[in-house]
Amino acid sequence: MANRKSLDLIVLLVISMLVVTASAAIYNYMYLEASSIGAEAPLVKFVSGSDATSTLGTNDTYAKITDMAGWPNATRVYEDALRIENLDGDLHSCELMFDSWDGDISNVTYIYVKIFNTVGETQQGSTLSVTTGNSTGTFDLPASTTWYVQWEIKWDGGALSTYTVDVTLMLKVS
Amino acid sequence: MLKLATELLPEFFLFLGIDFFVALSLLTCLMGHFRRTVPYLYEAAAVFGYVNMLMSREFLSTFGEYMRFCYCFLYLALALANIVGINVYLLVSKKQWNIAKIFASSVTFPTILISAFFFSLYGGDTSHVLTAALLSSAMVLGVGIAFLVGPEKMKNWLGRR
Repeated sequence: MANRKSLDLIVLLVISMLVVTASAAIYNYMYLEASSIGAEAPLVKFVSGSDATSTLGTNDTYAKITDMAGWPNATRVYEDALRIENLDGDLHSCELMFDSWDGDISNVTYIYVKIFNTVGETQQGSTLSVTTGNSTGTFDLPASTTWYVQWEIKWDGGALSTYTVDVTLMLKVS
Repeated sequence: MLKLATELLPEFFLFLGIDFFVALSLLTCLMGHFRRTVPYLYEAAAVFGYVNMLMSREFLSTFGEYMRFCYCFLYLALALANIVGINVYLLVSKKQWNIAKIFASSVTFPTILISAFFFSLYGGDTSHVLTAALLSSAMVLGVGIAFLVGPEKMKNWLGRR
């Protein structure tokens, strides 16, 4: 009797191990199969500002400011060069980062980029200096809110009107 | 910040049900209060769950998530009902009060708790009422099964009281 019970137990144990292992393998396989990478509408987009002309890319996730210029030995400020809008109902952490720049960069005294909640009001994050290549640090863009990107440009005293620089920045949204 | 991975597939409930049936099969074999065929029936139920999972994988794109959730959760509810049923059977039909108490605290309650935990993880914040309702239903179903298993003994027991 005891032997029969032991035999039953061994048989059941073997079947159990097989069933559970096979089920776990299938679940794992299904989990991988179901975890596809999808596409969704962007939650943060760029909007043209009133102080400069911008070309916006598809879905407004890319912006190129085309008509900014600085003065030699004087700071020119574009308070509303570009805007960043949060379309989502939730807050998003953002960071504007320096990527690259080229052109007559040796003649630039500085280019500062700052984020403001409203033109001329409170600055959000820290100042991005293109000449040093830093970032604004992380700032929290509230739900359904638009913030303003301010550019401050100053050329060296000897800069000519033919001098240009191209600056590329990246906006990280999380 | 630490974040829990909450993206459970509906088949997780199927997997949980298979585990419960397998555990029931081994427990009923060890306890000796049941016929020899009972553990094998539970093992067959676990194999049936495995076949369900295979079908679910084959028809992953055809079946909607709601349908998959329905049959997976039904399977888990059946497993829970059997656990509760065994507990009630031990208590009422076999009158093994001590064993029933141990079974309730070491098997029935943990399995219900685990199921409720994963169900609340799957459903998010809106499913608390549904969680309570479904688990209560499973328990009631289990009690009903116990009445079906030994109606005469139950009547006698209730009559004596």
